[in-house]
Amino acid sequence: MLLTAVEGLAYGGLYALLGLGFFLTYGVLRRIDLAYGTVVMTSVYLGAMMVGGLGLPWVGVLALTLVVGIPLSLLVAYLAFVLVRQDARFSMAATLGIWMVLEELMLQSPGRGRGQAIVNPLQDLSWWPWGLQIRIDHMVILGLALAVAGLLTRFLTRSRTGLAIRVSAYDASVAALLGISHARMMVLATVIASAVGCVAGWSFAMAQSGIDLHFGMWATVKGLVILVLGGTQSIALIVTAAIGLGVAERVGSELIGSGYRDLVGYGLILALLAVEPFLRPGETRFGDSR
Amino acid sequence: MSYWFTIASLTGINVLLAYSVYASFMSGQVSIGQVAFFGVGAYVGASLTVLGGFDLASAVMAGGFAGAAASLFVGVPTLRLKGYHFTIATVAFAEAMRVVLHNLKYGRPRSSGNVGDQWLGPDGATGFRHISYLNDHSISTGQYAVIVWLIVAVVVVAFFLVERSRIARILRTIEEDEVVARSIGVPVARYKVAAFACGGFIAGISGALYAHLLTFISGNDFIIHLSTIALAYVVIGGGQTMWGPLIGAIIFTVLPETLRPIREFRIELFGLLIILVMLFRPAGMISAAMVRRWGVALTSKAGAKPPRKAP
Repeated sequence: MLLTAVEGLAYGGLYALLGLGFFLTYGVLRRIDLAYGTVVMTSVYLGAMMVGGLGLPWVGVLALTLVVGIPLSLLVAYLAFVLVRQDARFSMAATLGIWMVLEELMLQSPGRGRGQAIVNPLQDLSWWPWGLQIRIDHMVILGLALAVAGLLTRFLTRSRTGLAIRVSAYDASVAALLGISHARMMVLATVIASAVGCVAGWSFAMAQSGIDLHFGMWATVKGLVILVLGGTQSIALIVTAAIGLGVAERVGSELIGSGYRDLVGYGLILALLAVEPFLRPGETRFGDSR
Repeated sequence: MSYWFTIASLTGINVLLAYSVYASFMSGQVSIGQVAFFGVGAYVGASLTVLGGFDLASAVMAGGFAGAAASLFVGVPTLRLKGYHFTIATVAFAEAMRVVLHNLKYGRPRSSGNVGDQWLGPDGATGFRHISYLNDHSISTGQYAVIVWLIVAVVVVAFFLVERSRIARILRTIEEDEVVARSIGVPVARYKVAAFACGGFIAGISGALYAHLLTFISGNDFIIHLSTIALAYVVIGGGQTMWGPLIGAIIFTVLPETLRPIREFRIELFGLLIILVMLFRPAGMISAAMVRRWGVALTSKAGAKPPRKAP
């Protein structure tokens, strides 16, 4: 059971990276972007496909993922949140359309939707404290997630640019009064959210030694679960929720069977949403839901 | 011909699924969880005919009620929440239900059948096979298409009447501004839950019809993509009027069948159309203003006197 909990901790690191990308998109930018996971999947998938085809070294996947992912995220943001902006529902529907198009394009790409292998240079390295096997790559990912969380917290709360992004996302007219370029801040925040998502996707794919098309939907659903569990008010809560989810899922699957592992997260989300209005009436962990 | 009758039945089922999304869409709620109620209806309906020996009508109705019960389970606690909590909750519920349906096993052994195919009822990841009610009762695909479209007709007439009633005005007010609706004494949560439960009921009915048409279902049939496609029918057809889901579902089920070369690109076409509609015509193909104009044109044409002939 202890080994399972430690494994869960490692998955928590992956979830935390994913949750941070969602935190930036939903919490800071206040966008309901259902294509987020698919954009990440598309970027990693194309990166892996190109690296496999061209015979590039393993770090090439991350570089290509970022090269594809960031412009793609900016395109999604422009289409769904700049050109379509009358109603948040319309923007959400547009991201749904983008999700469908991207996923199908990957299905018809030269990879034909088949899983793409990704080299994991740390795959066979393990650490054995007290007889427990801890994979080094999992610990690296957990460390990476904590480092990204720390940097993001510092950036958003201490730096002028970070504060400008938050003001701009909260109220564009207030930002304009303060001389902040709303468009520039939104582009910057989108780039950061996309980069974090790409790193998360790449880390996950590397830990699994490959990626397939299911990752997009899985990442979106998992990211939403973490977001609901952690709320959109604090990065620390997102990381805690992600790590908690990782541990709960692994331990849960040990207790109720691996077939029902995902039910742990979905059960938690439903339970939390159900009791939330009673715990704090009139207030949600999502804050202002404009 | 049997093929086209099957397509006709599938179109009717998709129309029902589109209306199940539209029911809560009227009050401004976007549900991506209709596939869960569809799946519940499918499993309940199929279980009743295969294992319980029920007739089709009772099984379909039971599927509808099961879908409504499932929608109440998720809707009652979450529809009171603000913002997009509700949409997220429906996503979580749909995925949770897929996991449950994928692992579900109950039923009894079959007296006949090949090795590995001797179970009657849902058999975990293998799925739910031998839903042979139509075959056992000699119901042809043509007759089944008529049954499906009779149910569609009832639902369309119900929405036609609701759209002209006070209920629709209240739901549209909630969609426009919940605070205003509450300030004029509308029990917002009750209306939203009722609309969502109606959607769950319709999804459950369509699920039961789907299970009997396909004769085999599994948890993997009820993935979230089906919900997004149903939402696409409403968004592309138009979410402001009851004609939108009907037109959207018919066009986008029949069109890929008639234009075979584009069938492979059906999902891209959907996605692209959603993006284009949201960019250039967010109200969808058929807007409320368009329906009003048609209504005025029709009534004026019907009421117009023939021009007098010059003496």
